[in-house]
Amino acid sequence: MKPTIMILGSTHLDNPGVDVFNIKMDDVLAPKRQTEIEQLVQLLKPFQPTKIAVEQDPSQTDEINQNYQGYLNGTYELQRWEIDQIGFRLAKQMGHQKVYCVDHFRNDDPMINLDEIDRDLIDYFKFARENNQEDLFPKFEEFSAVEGKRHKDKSGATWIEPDAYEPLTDMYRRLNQPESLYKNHRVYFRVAQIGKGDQYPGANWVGHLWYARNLKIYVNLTRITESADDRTLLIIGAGHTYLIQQFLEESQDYNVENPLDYLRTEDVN
Amino acid sequence: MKPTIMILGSGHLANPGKDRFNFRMDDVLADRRQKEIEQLISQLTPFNPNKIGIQADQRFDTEINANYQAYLKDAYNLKRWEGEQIGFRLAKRMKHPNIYCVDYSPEQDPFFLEDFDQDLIDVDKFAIEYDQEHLLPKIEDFSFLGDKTEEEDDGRFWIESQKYESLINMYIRHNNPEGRRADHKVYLRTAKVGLDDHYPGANWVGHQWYTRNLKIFVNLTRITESDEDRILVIIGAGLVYLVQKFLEESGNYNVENPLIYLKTNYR
Repeated sequence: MKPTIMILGSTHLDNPGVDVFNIKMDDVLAPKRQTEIEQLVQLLKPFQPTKIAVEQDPSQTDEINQNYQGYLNGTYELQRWEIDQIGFRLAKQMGHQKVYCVDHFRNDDPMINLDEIDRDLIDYFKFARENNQEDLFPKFEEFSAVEGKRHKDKSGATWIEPDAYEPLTDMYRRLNQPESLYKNHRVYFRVAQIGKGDQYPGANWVGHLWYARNLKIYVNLTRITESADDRTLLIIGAGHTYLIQQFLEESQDYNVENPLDYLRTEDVN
Repeated sequence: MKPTIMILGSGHLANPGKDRFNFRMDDVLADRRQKEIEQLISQLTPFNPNKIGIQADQRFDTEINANYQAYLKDAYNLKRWEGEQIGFRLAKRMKHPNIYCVDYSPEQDPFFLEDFDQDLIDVDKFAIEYDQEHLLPKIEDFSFLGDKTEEEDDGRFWIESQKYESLINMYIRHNNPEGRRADHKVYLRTAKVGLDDHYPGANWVGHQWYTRNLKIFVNLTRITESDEDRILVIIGAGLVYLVQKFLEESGNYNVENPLIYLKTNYR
């Protein structure tokens, strides 16, 4: 018997704008969204997770768990992000004592110290613009089928205001479709090609930042695995699902379950 | 239509001893081995490659192609390594004007220059210090066909076989998908070496192994010029799994399987 992991690919419900393309989420604290989140949590419950892992660096463990303890004691109000809205809620309903931080995201990583390295080594946007390789850039259509008005913010991130209201369970089903996860992953192989001669800004970014980060998330998941009875639910940006799932499967040490088996709309309402 | 790539996973015929576990190859310049190499070339010819990529850094491209030009003029004796024994030979037979160097060694990587702290990726040292040796690669993890093992002072192993294996059979074994999957699994175990803030395993596997393989993929895209390209890549068998995976996941290539061309010769 092997431990089980299920990855729920998510969008960032609190609109942090950390991605190249960001779909603007309406207020998830609104009553209608709160009802939908409660429904989503009920759908996920039959997975019977023994541990819930969230997209935060392990260095945030104390802070996140202080909040979680506060939530258990009724002294903390859930924030908008998926960590609280889905993670905390489900963890409490399952009677968990803590939640697990498994991301790897720190500017002072000794391998790639973002405060010190020559940024040109990974700045594929700049390189592509200067070398006429913009055709290799990620395109929005590759990440999402959501239609809506778009605008760019000061940091260069694109925001999409969806035209239509999408219930959360539908949204999570869409986000976790294997075809959309693959389409998303495939983009990295085009971005990796940005460069020429002895310059590899695209491959440096994809290899040293994207693959290495996802590999460490996989390693962090192995570190919180304690027994073959573990059933870990990882809630993470949907862009991460493809690779982390691939690492888990290739390790041959885990059963990997599919969240679509739990996200059935007919059970809602 | 998409360009086609076929990767031939190889052992290192010249015994460079660059890996932790090294299979000791007998002399491939011996007559019997030379005949087998000719057979191998004949079996690969129907793939009809128009370009051949070999496992050498691009920075050696000029030197290697100078050797290839000399070989075309019968003014160069092939060395033992697979890049020449298989790559040069087949390229000449297919009348290719040049050969392509597609490797990317971590020594070239600007992220790991001279002041780089090697402890960050020293998987062995960390595993021994923190009792994680069970995560390190073991001989049994790899599909070596050997019955004699010797260890060098620096921790490298040489594996020898008393039994003679023909080159065709050796290449069939090297390119078995199950063997490749089993090899790759070892990297995901090695990646776990570490504790708390320390990730020597994942640092090595992520920043060196995956990134090198990714840059080989990128080098292959750079030598791809048309949908009609048929590229044969000859690289160490350990690199096959990831480079092939990247080519497939990119969605931009037809990837052919060398086992379709390799047939045991019963003569």
